[in-house]
Amino acid sequence: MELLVQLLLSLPVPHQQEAVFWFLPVIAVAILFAGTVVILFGDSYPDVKSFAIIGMQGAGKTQFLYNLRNKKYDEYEATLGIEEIGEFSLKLNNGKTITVKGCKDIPGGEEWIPEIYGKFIRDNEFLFFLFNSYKYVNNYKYRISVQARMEYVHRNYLNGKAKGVYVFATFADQFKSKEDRQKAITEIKSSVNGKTYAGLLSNFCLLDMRDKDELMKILSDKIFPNNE
Amino acid sequence: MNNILYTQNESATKSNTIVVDGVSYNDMNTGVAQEAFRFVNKKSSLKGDYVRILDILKRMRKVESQNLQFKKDDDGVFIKACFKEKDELGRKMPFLYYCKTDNMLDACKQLIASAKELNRTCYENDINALLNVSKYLAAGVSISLIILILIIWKM
Repeated sequence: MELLVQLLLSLPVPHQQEAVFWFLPVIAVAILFAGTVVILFGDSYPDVKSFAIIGMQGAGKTQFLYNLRNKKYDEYEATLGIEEIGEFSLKLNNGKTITVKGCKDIPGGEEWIPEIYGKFIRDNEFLFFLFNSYKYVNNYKYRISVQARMEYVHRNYLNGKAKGVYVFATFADQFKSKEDRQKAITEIKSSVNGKTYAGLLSNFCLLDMRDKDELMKILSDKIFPNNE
Repeated sequence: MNNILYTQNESATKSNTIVVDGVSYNDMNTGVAQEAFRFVNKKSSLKGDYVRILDILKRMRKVESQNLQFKKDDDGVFIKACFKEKDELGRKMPFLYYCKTDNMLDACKQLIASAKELNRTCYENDINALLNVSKYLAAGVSISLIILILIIWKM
């Protein structure tokens, strides 16, 4: 037993402890440095999100997706059938980069609603609902269709994982003056007063889809601000 | 179902149309129309044939429809493209078409006839590309082989 104790005492334990103590400040500095890098440059690391761009037929969903991808949309083709867009990077005005995963361009026809809309709404984090503002104001049948679709979106949104629904009333350029635009906003909002889905229009804006800068400003300032 | 043509209408407020064996439907949520709609939708989600060749033709502006796609399998021929006619927003009107045949020429002839029933016209360039896509592939392979032989010969 004594021999064993002597043997243990003869082991170079103090040297090993010294070595560990010597490395501790280095490890601490490394952790501190890594933390600082993450804090200072954290925003530049891509943030992965999933988007669902949904809405009425001819509302500008394809153009919206082209704008998000910073691509020129000059082949004006309507969408019929699901177009796989895949992953892309969305660079915001505030310097933040978002990686949008598994994105799809889906058609707006009514027949697609029972087929894919429900799952699409429930499975994505950010929902963008588009409709033609000019038609909404001037065509009663269209307005009823949009409202039915909003009710459907709202119902499925409540059962899904989405963090928010953002409504874009497109074709704002068809309103000739600022006053007409303001009137349209008021009319659209008041038309859903008292409806179960009225809350969807709390994140609502009138948009000229050809003005990509306006869209990027809304995305950067309102939907994905720095502190988001 | 031997022949299905599913297409958009001029106005966004008008429902899309599906023509199944000569009968036109606007409601695709029940019966034969729903079955046909699901069938062409499923076909359009599958990987098409000669995708790379068609992409090259699109970039070279040898075809008009940027969504041009086709698939030939045991079920028949599936084609996705656009008509010459445009909708109220000035966009080319797309279609999904299925024909129970193993012959591309026959499918194209039937597509043109079905489109005519709806007062629609297919792009000649698109039809030519569909009929000659295997020839384009053969030409591409031949050119590549000649270039390869020339490179080896020069070495």
